[in-house]
Amino acid sequence: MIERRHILRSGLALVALTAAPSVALADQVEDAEAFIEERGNKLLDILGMAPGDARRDAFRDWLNGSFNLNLIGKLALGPFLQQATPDQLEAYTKAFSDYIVVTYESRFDTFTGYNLQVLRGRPAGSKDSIVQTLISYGNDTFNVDFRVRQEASDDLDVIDVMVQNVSMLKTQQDEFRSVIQRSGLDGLIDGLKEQTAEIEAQAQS
Amino acid sequence: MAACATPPEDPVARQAFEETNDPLEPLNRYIFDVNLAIDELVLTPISTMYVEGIPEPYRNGVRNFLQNLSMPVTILNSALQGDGENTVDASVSFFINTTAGLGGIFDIPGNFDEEPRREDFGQTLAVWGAEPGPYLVLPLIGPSDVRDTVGLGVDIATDPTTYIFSPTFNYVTTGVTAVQFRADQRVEYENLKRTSVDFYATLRSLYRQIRQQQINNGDLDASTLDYELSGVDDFDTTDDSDSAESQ
Repeated sequence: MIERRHILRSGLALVALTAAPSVALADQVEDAEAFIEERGNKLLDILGMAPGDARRDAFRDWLNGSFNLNLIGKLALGPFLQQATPDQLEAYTKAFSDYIVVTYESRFDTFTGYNLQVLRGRPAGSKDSIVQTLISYGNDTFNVDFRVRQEASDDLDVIDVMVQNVSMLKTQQDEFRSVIQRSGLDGLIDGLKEQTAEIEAQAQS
Repeated sequence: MAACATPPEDPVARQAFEETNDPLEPLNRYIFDVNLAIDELVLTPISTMYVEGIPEPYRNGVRNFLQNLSMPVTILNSALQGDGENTVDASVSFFINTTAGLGGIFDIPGNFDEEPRREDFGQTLAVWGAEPGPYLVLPLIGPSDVRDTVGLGVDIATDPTTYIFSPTFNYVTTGVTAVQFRADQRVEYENLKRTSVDFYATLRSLYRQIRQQQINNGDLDASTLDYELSGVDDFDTTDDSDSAESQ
């Protein structure tokens, strides 16, 4: 009897030990779901604003508050990150961030009229959660998954968006790898700057 | 030899070259540019006229008709992949749409959990374990790889419409399929083309990811992000600038 109780007790202790990290992970996933919901609603508010500087500033704040552009930029470099000099990395990080901001600003109008429904989240690695959502847009619906990183400071940030399983980060990694292969990291930095200027020029015309 | 890219010697660059898996890149880029020019000169104006000139219900009818026409290939390949459910669903859908849907113009909703997925021989080869092989850009057709090029040939050879209808009919349906596809994708396509640093590389990546998703039958849980986050993922992201310099 004693033996059985002992086994039972150590069994319970084992369950408690293994359950602790999964409780933490479940919290992380729940936080990520709430974060995506909140960010989605916030974007709807911004889309409802009158066009102009105030809306543009609000969108930039939203973009910076939702995505960790510094980290996404580094991830997009893949193995080439380790070859970058500090000066190159600084120039690249700035160029990448500017490029992303103008790219999404130029697509701003295409976001109008969407509806986001958070389906569920699941853990991915120790620091990330994948939040699955359904975005409807007119008659079309898309599965859009957000990879949310919990930073050491407990801040949450989106580091990848997957539309119908197509990863934007993976696409960017592949694209940047190709540019670096052809013209080096400096070529990529120049390309990002040129593209940013071109998108801005088109937006003004 | 000018059509082939030379593999680099630096290990990181070499690994990148192998991951890109595009040894014919110079030739592919040339064909890509020709395709883009044709797209701009021919396909874009026609698909714009198509969208503006033909009301949506008629365009939906055309889309349904073309989709129904591709069903025999789906049925055959679902069977070859051992996917009984999709074989049955696609057969039922093809039968109902061809008869009650007047040759497929009307899409009669079947009693399915999900609409039957489109399958082709490229996907079947993947399910059987064949590797994709190097990336290829085919004249007029666009992004492909060795496996999908073989698949495309088999699809044409096993498609009953190849034999039932006249070559003219098949050319016209192929052309209309291209116009329809271009019209459906025009906003996203133009956005990508406008904002990409390297449009060729972007489409190459998208083509591979979309094909992988089709091979996995769109199972969102099955693909747990196989892209490479390791190596750069161990960064202390709260202290960005230092961590990068310490590498």
